Amino acid sequence: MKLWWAALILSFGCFLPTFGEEESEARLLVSKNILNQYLVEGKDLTVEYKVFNVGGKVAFDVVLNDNSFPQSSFTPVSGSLKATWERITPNSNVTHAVILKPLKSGYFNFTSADVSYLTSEESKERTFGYSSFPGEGGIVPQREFDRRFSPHVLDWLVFAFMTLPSLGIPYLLWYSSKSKYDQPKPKKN
Amino acid sequence: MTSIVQALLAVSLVLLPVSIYGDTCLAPQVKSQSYSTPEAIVSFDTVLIVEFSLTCKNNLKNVNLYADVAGRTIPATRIGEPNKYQISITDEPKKLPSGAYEIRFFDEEGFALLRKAQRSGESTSSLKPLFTITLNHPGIWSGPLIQSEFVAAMTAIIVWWMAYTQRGKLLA
Amino acid sequence: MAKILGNFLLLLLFIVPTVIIFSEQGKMSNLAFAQDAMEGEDDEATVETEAGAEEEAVDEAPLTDQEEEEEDIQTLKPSPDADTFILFTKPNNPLELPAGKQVRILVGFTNKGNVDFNVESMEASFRYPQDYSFFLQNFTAMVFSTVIESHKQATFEYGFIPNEAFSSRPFGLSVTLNYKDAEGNVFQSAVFNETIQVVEPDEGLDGETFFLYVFLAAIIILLLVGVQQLVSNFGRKRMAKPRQPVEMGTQNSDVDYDWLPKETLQSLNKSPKRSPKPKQSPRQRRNLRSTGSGDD
Repeated sequence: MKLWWAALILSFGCFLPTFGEEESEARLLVSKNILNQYLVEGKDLTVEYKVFNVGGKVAFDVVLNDNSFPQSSFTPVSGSLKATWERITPNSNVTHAVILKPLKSGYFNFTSADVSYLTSEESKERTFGYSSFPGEGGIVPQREFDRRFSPHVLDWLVFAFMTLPSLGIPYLLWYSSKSKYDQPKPKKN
Repeated sequence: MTSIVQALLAVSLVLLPVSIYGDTCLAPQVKSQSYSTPEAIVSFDTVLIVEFSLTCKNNLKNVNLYADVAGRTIPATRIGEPNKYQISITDEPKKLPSGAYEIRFFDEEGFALLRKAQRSGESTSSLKPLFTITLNHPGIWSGPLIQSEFVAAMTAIIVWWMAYTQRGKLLA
Repeated sequence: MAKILGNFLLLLLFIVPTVIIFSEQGKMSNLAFAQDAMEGEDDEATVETEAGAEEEAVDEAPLTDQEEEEEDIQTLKPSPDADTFILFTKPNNPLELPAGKQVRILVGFTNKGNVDFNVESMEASFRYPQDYSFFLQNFTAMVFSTVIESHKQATFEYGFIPNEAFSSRPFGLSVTLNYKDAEGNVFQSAVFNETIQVVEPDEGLDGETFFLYVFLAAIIILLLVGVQQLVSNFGRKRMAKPRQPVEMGTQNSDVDYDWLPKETLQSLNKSPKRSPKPKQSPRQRRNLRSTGSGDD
């Protein structure tokens, strides 16, 4: 009977996934995110890349290359779209940020960046991968954005100027009559 | 036998500075250019970027550099051309307040010392960095403090109040 | 006779599953649980054959078969050529998720096979921890439709917000990735399938609640002031009525006398009975002019 049980457990174990198995190679997860609250034409576009090494070994010669921003639609402001790290240690992450300036408004599909690395020092073959992608985003035209978010100081000044006659003329009339009455008093006193 | 040892010693003594020169960057010259998130709509998180190019007197190329800034140690990213680097720091605006950030750069050797000091809980300020770059983050502009609509409404109320009190005085 | 037949049956039952196992392994290089490396499984398989006295494994066979069938009905299988990895980037600890706050996960996908995979979508859901077929909250599926060529990797990001009402309770969190290969076979990997705890986000006073309290306090103060005003008004009216004829004189005390010439004031003081008349007359005049309504 004991044997039956033993065999049962053993054969059942064969079907169970083995947990806690150590991954012997480097493994990178790359996220790409747009950090903007609003994407506005002519204003900075912040792109953040995060590379996580979740494997068990150091990743060597990690190259992150993003070709998804065409020159005709974006100009670089700060940071480089090609980044290289000599090595990324296990259970650590590195951050890379790039600032671009959208030249055109409208919808743009933000696609993934390419990443390649060596899973260990000895490995000859490079591992290629893609980062996550933020997806489609609408770039708001500058004018539209200003209409919604600028402080409209000029508009208010114009408004104040236009309301001035309706308020000012009665006031002046009143003031002139008031001063007529007020003036004699100090003389009397 | 002893003469051989002596000779070897002499040779190694002569070669020592050379080997050291081979490792460390001499008289580093740094040209840097920095960016920090100017306004809130551009990014949820504060982003600080420093791009710099490094030229060593001994023509050392592609040195591995590590930056120590605001309590975090990050490897410098190599970008595009040789000897061009980038440091990117992103975090919540709360954790990256405005001000001047002194970024201290270490090479492999300095980094090892830095890690050692960090592990033993010593202060790292005594370590001599290869060079430093100061980044000035003027803070994030998150729109005007008072909305223009509010100002206009307040002005209208004040004008009305003044008129009303004047009228009240007349009636009294 | 019966014994021989029984033994034969046991032998048969033993051989059948092992044959199935090995043939499947030969075909797809891996079994249903593709996520672990092959070596581990092989080891255990050999252990089984070594230790397995013929009779033993038999009982097992129908059991496992049943299980696989159940799985087939319930969910799709992951592909042996796909390797997935999950990482919680925010918060870092997947076992304690804050309610009402965004949770972000990264899922790595490696195509180990020789055919392309099309990663279609990822979805997450909260299940009842005792019974995973019972859904508590379903999060929107994210559609990727990305082609991953053979021996390439990709990372996918997924974000969801646990319902605020779900605090301090255990949930079965299940994250699944749907993909299909070039031949159109549909696969599904359970990237994450564990019981997690939804915790209340630890944060002190946020601006919104602070201003809510300030606003409440303001309303209360306003109400108090109003009540006080009302009470004092009532009191004054009640008190004032009988006194009114007497008060006439004192009412004049708030009148500004400054503008009157001193002689008039003196005369006023001397003859208080006459005083209201000259004083009131200009006021009355002005009132009439400006508002068109006379008092008194």
